Amino acid sequence: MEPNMRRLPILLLVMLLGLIPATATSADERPGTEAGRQLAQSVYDAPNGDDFASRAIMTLTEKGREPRTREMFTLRLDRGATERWLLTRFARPSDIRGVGLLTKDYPGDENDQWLYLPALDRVRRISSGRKGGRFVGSDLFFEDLRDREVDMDHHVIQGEGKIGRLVCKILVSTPVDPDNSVYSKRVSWVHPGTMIPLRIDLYQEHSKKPTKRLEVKRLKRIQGFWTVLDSTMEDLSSGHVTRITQTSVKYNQGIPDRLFTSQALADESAEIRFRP
Amino acid sequence: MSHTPLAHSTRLSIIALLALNFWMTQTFAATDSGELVIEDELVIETDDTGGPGEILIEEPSDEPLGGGDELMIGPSGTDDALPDFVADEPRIRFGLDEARAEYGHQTDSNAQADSTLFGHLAASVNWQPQPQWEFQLAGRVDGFDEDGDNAFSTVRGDYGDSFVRYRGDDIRITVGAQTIIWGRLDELPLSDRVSTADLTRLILDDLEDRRRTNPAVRAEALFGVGKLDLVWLPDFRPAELPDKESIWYPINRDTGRILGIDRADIPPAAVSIASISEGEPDGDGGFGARYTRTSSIADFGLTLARTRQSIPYFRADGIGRFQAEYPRSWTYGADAAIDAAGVTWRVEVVYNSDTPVTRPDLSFTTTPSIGWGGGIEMHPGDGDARVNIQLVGTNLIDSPTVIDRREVYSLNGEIDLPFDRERWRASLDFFIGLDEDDTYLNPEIAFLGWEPHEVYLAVHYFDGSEQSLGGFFEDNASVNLGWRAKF
Repeated sequence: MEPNMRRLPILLLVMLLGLIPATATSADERPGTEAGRQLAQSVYDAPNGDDFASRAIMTLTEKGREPRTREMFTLRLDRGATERWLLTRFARPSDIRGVGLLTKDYPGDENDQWLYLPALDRVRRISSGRKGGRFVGSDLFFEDLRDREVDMDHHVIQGEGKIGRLVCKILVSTPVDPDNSVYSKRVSWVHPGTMIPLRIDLYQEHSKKPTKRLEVKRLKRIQGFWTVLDSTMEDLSSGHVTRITQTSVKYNQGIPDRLFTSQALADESAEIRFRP
Repeated sequence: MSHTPLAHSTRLSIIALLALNFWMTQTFAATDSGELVIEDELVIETDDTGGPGEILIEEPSDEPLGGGDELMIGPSGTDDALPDFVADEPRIRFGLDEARAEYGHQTDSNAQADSTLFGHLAASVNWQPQPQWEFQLAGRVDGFDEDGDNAFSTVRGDYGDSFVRYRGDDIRITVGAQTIIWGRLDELPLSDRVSTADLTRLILDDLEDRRRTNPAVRAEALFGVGKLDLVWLPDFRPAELPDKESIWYPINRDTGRILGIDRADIPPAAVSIASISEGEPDGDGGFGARYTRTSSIADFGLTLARTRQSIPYFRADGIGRFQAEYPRSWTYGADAAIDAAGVTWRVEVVYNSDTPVTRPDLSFTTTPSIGWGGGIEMHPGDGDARVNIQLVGTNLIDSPTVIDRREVYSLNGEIDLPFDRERWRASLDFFIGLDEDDTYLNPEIAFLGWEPHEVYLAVHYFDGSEQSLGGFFEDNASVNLGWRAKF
């Protein structure tokens, strides 16, 4: 299958879920550079299929406490260069089984979100502007689940660095509009061979040090697409870690548009055949 | 589970095994067509004998990264680290769905019970032999106990959602007992005209626990981003009421009061000696249609129904007798939700053709009414807290002189504050009357860290004027300790 060049959700953990933005520029107030922008664009455009389905396990770990796990299925459909629809359905634990979250990211900073609550059998439109809340108690903010277009940040390459022995380009990204991101800065270690950030340090306004760190632990080329199979997001102040492991993945199944409606969100039966 | 969490503080010294092994392991990935694809796999091995906090990843000098098809960064063995979940849903699922136990201590010295106990079990069998067909049988058992002046204990069995369902590409047909809750507003959806209320614990529980299943034939048809929902209720099921001795029953014969009626209009002495009949009418419960549609601008819904209300209205039936009425009413409703300025806005309005009322001479009649409401939901500070506030009103239209409240305005909602990574949740449910003194407050703290179990401590506080809900139940304030779980 010919990988077509689409935007690359950024990887990290969430890549699995759909994506994480590629990065950001410097909070050092330096304007972005063309080289930085091109690298960010390359990350964004890395091939990731027209659609994507995964089964993932999210493990929340904190020292001295029992880990908690969530199991979820994710379907992603790309519609054009900057529109992405994402459907996440929880399978475990049992108290959130069947809960569904539908996100439609449109060009720019626009999006819509609906939440399906099986106990009420009701789909509720929820605030799409929410970025800072934690996703199911994890270290992921809602913003981490959303697409972030390249032009929403200034990008600067700050040389090279190593992740282990892998030489990566360090891309610093800062929001053009500070109000549209929880993060004041993202520093990404982009691996040139895969155009996937192997690590992203995330800064928030209140801290000069990174507050969270996203690290890729395992990459695999599946159906021709580099896929993050294992990754972690760590809260650097508390040591709390969210690990996302994708246990199975499928690309380009021809997932239909009709699965990404609030009506379909209320009945998961139609999406089951597309689960990996 | 044997996964190895990679704590950032963990120092993985790594001395590389340096060898970059190109393993032509035969990893197979199934394609849509069932074809097997043999994928090359590149494994970069690491060791953890080096210095702390480092991961060394080896790369073959003669092979650019990405030349293989797998890249391990960090400790190997991630497969072994996977929790032992079996993700596939079985075609047959059976067992306990829900369990709950709660102890309540009534804090008011005037309370007619010193304490209450509540237990609940729900179980089901669900079978999906094919994607198109689904069969479910469900049941529940609820136990209630109150001590004090009117002590009683009772255990009730009931059926749960038990149905046969067929799914086509754009249609879903369900025949059997179902719980269908229409409407847009939280907790008090005005278009909710085809469900059966569960009043056994009044308003102590969330909306989903304040409804019972009822027999229905339902067809849901999808039209792009629209959905038409048609429901027929072949056998009317009235609300599940608490035991007549329960402190939550809407007629209190000890005090001679009826919920919503001033004691000046119906003397307490007459109520105290009255007999109460809850008997429901025979026949169907009616039908309803609801069309919903979503778009990037707004979601909206239209409701048309001709149904009986499931909550009884007790009318005076001669001297010394109250008879439950479940009038049939036409309902026309419209509702919408939009997302703007970081807030979800919800509005809902319904017209009911027949709202039950009582004239001063105690004769029963019905009159049109309008219910309306609007609410906002937001996350203050873009954090984890959620605030939902709703303004709701009901106005009788062209009604004769009645002893009922002709208009009711209230503010209600919920504030949720999860903390400690959602291991805990503090919340406050509230209902505040605007035209009458009417207050219900329900602060609660719950421990959620023992998934799927939840342990909670809640307070239920009631206060208000004579005709209000808060006033009627003001002696029932309680502190409740409970456990609930979903399996």
